[in-house]
Amino acid sequence: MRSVLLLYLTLFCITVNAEDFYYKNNKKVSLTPLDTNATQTRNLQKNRDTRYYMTPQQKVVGVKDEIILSTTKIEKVVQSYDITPLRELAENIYLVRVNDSANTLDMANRLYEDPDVLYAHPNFYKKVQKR
Amino acid sequence: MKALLLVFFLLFFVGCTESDSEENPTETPIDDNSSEPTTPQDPIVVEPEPLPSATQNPLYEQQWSINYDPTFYRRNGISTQANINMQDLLETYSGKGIRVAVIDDGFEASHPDMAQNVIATRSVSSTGEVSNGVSHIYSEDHHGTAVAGIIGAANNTIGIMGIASNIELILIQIPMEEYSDAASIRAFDLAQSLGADIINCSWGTGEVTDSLESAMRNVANNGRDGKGIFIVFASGNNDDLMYNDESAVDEVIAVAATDSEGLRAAYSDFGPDLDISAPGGDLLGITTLDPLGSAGSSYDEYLRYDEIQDGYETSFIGTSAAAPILSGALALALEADPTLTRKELLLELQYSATRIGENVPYMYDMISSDGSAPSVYGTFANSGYSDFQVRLKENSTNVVYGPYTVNSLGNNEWVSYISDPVEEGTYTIEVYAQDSTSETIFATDKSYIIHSAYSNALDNKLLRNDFYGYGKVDLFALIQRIKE
Repeated sequence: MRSVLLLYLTLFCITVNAEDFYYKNNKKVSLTPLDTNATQTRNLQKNRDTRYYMTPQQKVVGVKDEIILSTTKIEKVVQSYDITPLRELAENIYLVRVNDSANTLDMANRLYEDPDVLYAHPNFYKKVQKR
Repeated sequence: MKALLLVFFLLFFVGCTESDSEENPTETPIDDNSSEPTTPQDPIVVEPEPLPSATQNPLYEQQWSINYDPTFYRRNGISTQANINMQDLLETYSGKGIRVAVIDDGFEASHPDMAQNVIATRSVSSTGEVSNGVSHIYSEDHHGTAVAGIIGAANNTIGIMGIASNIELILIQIPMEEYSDAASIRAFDLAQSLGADIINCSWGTGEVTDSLESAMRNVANNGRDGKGIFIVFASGNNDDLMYNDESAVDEVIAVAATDSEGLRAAYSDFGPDLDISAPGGDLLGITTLDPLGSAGSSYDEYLRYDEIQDGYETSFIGTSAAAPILSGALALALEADPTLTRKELLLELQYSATRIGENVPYMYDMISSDGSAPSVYGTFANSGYSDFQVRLKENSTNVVYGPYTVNSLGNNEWVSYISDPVEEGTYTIEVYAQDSTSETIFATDKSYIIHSAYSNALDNKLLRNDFYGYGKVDLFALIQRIKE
């Protein structure tokens, strides 16, 4: 029983301390999780399927089950991961759906590290400013 | 035989009906699958007829950013330097044959003062789905109409005149309330496939990802059959550094706003990635289109320079207005010479711009060196105020050389001698001023590589400043340079 508790505690600590991030220009960009009701998310359309994060530049971004990636080998990439292609947005830039929606950030980062993928990140939902 | 005649008659009738429907502005004559711009077939060469006078547009008098009307200027205290120096260009140029895509929302495609120039309307969803047409969602949803009107309102007797009044407008609506990277990438790709020469974006997110940056780069470098598409972005209205914004991407032309005094508007965002300035208004707005009836912000179909509704100023003001002024100007320049590549025209734009500002130093974006003692040169927009210093930074943050004083050379030129031996490397060069409480960085030359054999850099003089970019658009000077 004690070992089970210890395992849960360890897993809890890992979960709490796990760093959320995505890749940009080969660098990790940290993401701070936000509560859906946080005031910072006020101007974004709320959606139960969306997780909200704060970027280092204090911008709020929403993450759903969608990833944008660039590759010249889309068929091979789709076969290798638990993702479903949705559409080609531009030449060699694809929108894919992550089949396990709780896993979008992790999947995006695994894809980014794949040599067949030029870059990958969640399809970020953002507040846009008309100027 | 009678039956055959009847069939011919019916076919003729159907043909006429289809032709009528093309006049409906909500229809989109461009095939979604077509990647090539259509070119009109006209085998007969005729002398171009003089364009109708701009003054036939009843609100043209108010369009101070493109029209120098001495009476209107005097009455409203506008500086003679506030406009983009059109002179008589509108008698010759109207943007004919040039396509501008406006990516925005709140489009009134059937606005009577713009409809004739709209050749395609598309909407993109947050997952990149494309559908025909654009629509209004909110009552205050006027933004895209106002932006597009500045560029391409028609030359007629109804209201205002766009800078490029005979342009082909492509209106692409993106979901501003549920904006995503996918929508934006698809919108840029769509603009390119619909044959856009220029893409105007009067918005931004301050958070650019690899995918959007690479999609914009591809469009800017490879669009227009390899000559490159102009992507114009508003720099922002927060009186702040542009940071990681769409407007800060190298291939994008970032536009700051000037006011009716011809100086930087106090709200305009700035930084080393700023390219150019254009009127965006401040106390006086930019007169433009407004959606019809309750869909717009005013009670009729125009937003005037002094619009006030329910006690609030509602005229169109901001870098959102400055960006389409540049887009319209670029359309006229491209009409003057459609063969110019993006880089060629951008260089002409930079050279022809007017250095504006009060006591503002502009720095040549090159350093002169005879090998051991590099010097930084620049100029002041106005009088020779010289209380500035120069320093070199490594990694954009750590000051590694300087500060060095700025010395006047006369004729508003200045020089700062870097007296230390500078090691080979990549530096950011800054011109800045400091008082007891704060410092202001006026000009930044980023990622400048100093090496031991560098010399003669001043052969390629280009002056810029972090608040104005290369200066304010001077369209007359630009087209003169192109035509030389």
